Amino acid sequence: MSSLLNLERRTLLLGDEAVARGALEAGLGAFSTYPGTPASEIGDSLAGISEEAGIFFEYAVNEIIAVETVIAFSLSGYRSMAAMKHVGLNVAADAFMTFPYLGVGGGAVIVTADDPGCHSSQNEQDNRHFARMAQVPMIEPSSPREACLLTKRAFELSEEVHLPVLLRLTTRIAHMRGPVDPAPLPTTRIGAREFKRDPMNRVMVPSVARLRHAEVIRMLENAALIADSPEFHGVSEGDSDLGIIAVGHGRNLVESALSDLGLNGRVGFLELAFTYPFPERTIADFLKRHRRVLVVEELTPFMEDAIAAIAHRRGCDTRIFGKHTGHFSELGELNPDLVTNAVADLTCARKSTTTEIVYADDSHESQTRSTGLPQRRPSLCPGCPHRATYLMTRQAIGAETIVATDIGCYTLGLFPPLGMGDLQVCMGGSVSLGAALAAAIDQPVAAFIGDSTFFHAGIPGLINAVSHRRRLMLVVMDNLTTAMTGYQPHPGSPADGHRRVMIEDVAAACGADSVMTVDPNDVRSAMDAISTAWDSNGVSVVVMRSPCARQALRDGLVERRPPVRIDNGGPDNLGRNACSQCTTCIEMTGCPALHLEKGARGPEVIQDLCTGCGLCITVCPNGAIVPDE
Amino acid sequence: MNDAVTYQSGGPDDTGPIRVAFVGVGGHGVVMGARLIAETAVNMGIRVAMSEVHGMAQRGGVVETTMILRGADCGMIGEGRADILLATEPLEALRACHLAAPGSAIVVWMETNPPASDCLLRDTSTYPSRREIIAGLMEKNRRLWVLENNSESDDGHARVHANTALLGAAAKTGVLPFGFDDLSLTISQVLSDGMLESNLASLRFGRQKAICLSKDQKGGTQ
Repeated sequence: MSSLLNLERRTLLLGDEAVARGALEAGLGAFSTYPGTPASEIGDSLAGISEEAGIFFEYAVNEIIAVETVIAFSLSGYRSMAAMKHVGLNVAADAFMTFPYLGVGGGAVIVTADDPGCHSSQNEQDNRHFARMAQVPMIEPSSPREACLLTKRAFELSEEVHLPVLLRLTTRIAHMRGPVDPAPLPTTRIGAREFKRDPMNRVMVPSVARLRHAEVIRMLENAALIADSPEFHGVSEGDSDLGIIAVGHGRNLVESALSDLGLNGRVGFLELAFTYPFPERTIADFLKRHRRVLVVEELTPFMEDAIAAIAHRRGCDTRIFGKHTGHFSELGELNPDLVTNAVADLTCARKSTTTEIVYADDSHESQTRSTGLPQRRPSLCPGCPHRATYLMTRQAIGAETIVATDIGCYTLGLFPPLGMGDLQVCMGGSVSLGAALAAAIDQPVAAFIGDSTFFHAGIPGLINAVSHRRRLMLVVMDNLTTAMTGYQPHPGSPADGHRRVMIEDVAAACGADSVMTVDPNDVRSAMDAISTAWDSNGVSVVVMRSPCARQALRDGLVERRPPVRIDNGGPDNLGRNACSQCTTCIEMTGCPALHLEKGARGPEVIQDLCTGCGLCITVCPNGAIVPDE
Repeated sequence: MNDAVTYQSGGPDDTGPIRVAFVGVGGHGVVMGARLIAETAVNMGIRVAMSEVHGMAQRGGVVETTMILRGADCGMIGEGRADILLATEPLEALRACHLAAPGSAIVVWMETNPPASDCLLRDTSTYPSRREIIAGLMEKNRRLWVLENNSESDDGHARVHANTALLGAAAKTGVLPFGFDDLSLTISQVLSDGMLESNLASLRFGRQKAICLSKDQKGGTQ
């Protein structure tokens, strides 16, 4: 597979990769990110080539640092980009909201990847509102091809209007693969690489901020003129009174639906890629030509409300259809059936047999069938050190203890049999939620956080708990990587060019009353540490450190141990108690490497999956599971 | 149309969209298998967009990819619209067959990979029998090709890759707008040297060993 730096012809790229390629074509000088699905692949595709490309690249500790890094580099003349998932922009919001007041030097692009449908997120917020709130221009591509072209264009736009640009993706665009025609990479770098001192415009005290806000408004008016430029929209005419306005992934679904319903040339279609400031003239022209307009967008009626306002201002009596008329919901993703049905509803399109899409009985059949099939739930991997941590901690803290948990692989401990999770909301939340719960209720409380998450947002909560003399046991589950998003490094990862920061040092410096570091695979020591921490007053921190099993095996960091063996009392019985088929091993650990075949004599070990971690050995009441030596 | 926002027309052989679904379990190479189809389309100048859902695939979850050839840059396909469904696992084929159109082709790697026993112990449902799976897949006149993992590879390669074997079988269905040689060329271009021979062997294995269980073995969409 060729590097993003060496694309010579039309290439199939992921939406995220296309954003990275577009940035390279724009002469990207600096990039910072905190990984998060569905934005992670932007950073991952730049990480390996940044040195060769001469780009400043950083996996930041969190998203606000990524945006602050972009501010500094942009004002120093670099074309700069930060990428994050939608909730990452919440973390970055403090910097992001005031960024436009500072203006830009080199073009600055902030990428937000929203997740309608919550494929891998805690909410499905609509980050288009951030563009309006921060008063910055927003661009929404609808395919990898556009993602590449529009990312490049976004840097130019940012410099034209002296504002950062929000590039908004959604999961279906970020994770769409499609052909991209690469343009040549620039041979010379853009930017003076100098910070020009200008404190009366760059230090946001109130007197400066008031003046700068006026400048932001003025720049946004310039952006509004560009928003109407034909390069950012496509319009096709129809011969009926119905028009459709669509953005982002909605555009693809409308194109597909019009073709399926045989309505090409019948229904007017306005596709918008510049979605804030609203391209008012373009929208008004379209409204004037159609008595009815359907707005197709995901999540909130962001465009629909703006279009209704534009219609009102322009004295246009076009009827607007969309979320408010019940044609679409604010929940989840759009899909081909939802869009086709909405368009069919407004056109009374007679679906021919070839375009008939939803057979009522079919969808019923598929529903009943899907509920009749065994679920395939994601789970902690075989050998995952979090499983050991959870098992022994639950034993120490008792079934009644409330567990505040956090965001990462270890959130999967929520599911049975581990059942470790009663409250979770956001990155770093476990620490402050746990400490506050401990103050609020008489029930015992424990908090669990991952390593990358601890650095990201857990530290202020820890200081708060210490400072306010809370009683809390915080378990930091350190697998030395940001595993959930694809093994990106964090400050506590084994040093790879960076200076390593140890979690236990940070916890001690925060003033925790006790800090212990143990290997959860060393069951006796780990149990001792947990029991000691659980019984002590004040804030105790236990760092459970063991490398991510999957990453360690993948990267050859450890030698694969042979799978464990279950003594089933057969001819090779070792003289100990044989497996009694009680299935305790499966029921307690939930390890995917333990398999119980219907009608079999007892559980068996799936050789390919077992990492030989031996956790099941410790839970077997019969001593029937043994290491294969 | 304009500078930044461009719209691509279909290829010269534009005779309507072909919808493809490729499903399985994390670790089965589902995304790579689907990518090889999309890469072949790009090689041949056929319009293509592919959508991937792989949020928690690494943790044993379901992986689903869908794509449209010669159609809108959409990637997603509606209920009952897939012209061909490829699955690296029988249960996942059954779970996804609501996507497959009446009369469409389904190609399945028949080696079972049951959900974690922990799930099954707590689940009221059980892994469906081979008979149930085959009957479900063949509803609505769908044409079913199966690949058994216990078939001997003629090339003598120890390991057959399910994803590329499915591609070899898919080439026989006549649904895709390209054939075995085109897929073979893409594999040679995309995969690294170390993976090349075994995947080309798997592709041949799929073509040789796929068995059509439907009476009508003729290719082409209906």
